[in-house]
Amino acid sequence: MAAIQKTSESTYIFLKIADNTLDDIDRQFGLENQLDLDSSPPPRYGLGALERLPLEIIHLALMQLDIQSFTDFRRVNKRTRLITNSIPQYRNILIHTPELIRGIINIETARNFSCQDLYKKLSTAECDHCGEFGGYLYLVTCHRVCLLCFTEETDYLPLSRKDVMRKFGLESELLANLPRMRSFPGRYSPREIKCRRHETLFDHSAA
Amino acid sequence: MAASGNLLTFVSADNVHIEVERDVAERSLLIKNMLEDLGEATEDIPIPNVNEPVLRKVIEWCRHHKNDPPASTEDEDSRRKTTDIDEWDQKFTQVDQEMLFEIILAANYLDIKGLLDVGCKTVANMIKGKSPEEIRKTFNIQNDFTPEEEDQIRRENEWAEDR
Repeated sequence: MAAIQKTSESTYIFLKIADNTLDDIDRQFGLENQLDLDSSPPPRYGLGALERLPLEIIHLALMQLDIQSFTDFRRVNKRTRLITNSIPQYRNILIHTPELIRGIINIETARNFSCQDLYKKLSTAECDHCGEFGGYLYLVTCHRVCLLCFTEETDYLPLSRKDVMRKFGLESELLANLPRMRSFPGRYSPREIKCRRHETLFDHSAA
Repeated sequence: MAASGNLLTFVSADNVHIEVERDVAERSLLIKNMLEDLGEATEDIPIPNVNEPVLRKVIEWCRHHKNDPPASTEDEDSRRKTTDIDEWDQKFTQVDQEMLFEIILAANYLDIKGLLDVGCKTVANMIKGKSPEEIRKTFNIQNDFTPEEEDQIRRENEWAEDR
């Protein structure tokens, strides 16, 4: 899909970058900063059996977790929440780009990579594909991309279930192992049609 | 009971003598550096923080991994996924939680990076894919969130569906 599509001799449709990004969806909801809650009374309980391990080892273990599991661990009790907040990489992500965490949880790609992966990717500037400056993150598998690669490289255009099966001849059982995302209902160009369903989209390069 | 040649003798915290080949013992950076400083080790080596059963497990791991290439660079490490624990290590870590934590602590103390890594991954896998309630059960953790707070936390990451 090109950034500008020629549909007939006289009509051009401009691809809206908003179709491919999450910021605008997130902004709609105006959520409070996640760290606010932590000014409530201090934890009453510890970490149970995990208390046996020193904090730096717990950090090491948590850094291995995918972000979905990491987020679930934060919900265990106040102490686990404090501990995750004290991990510098996670804290930095949360302070500078809380919408990123919300985004990947809502499109359900948070199982595909860890905080460490995300943090490393955020600390780079170059597009993984062409090496130029990359202003976007492809969040199905956590790659940094530039606008051009993001919108033109087939690797960064996830496919629907039907397309994957047709294009790669994959059996549906194999699809279960592919990185995937779930789209968010809303209006998407070119025709501003309202999509009510969550579509499951699969990573192209993994297929 | 001084060890000679390529055999060393460890003395565990509960005062049990265990013989270890030198190349196996040197998987521990702590021991390796100590031996380098000492030159020849002719005396028993006390391991004051580790009990016999744990020390035997740690030595078992070191023996199996004695020919592993030196610790890979950090970059490669991060690319390996959490679930990537090799089969032997998976069997090795099928012990009760207490033993697992003791092994991790011993690996940390003895500075055996590979074993510490396997231990941390195993702990991560015990958390992975579980609901908060299941995690609480696994590690016997008590919940101190009020229902309102739980509700707020559940909603903090949610995008409301388009009305």
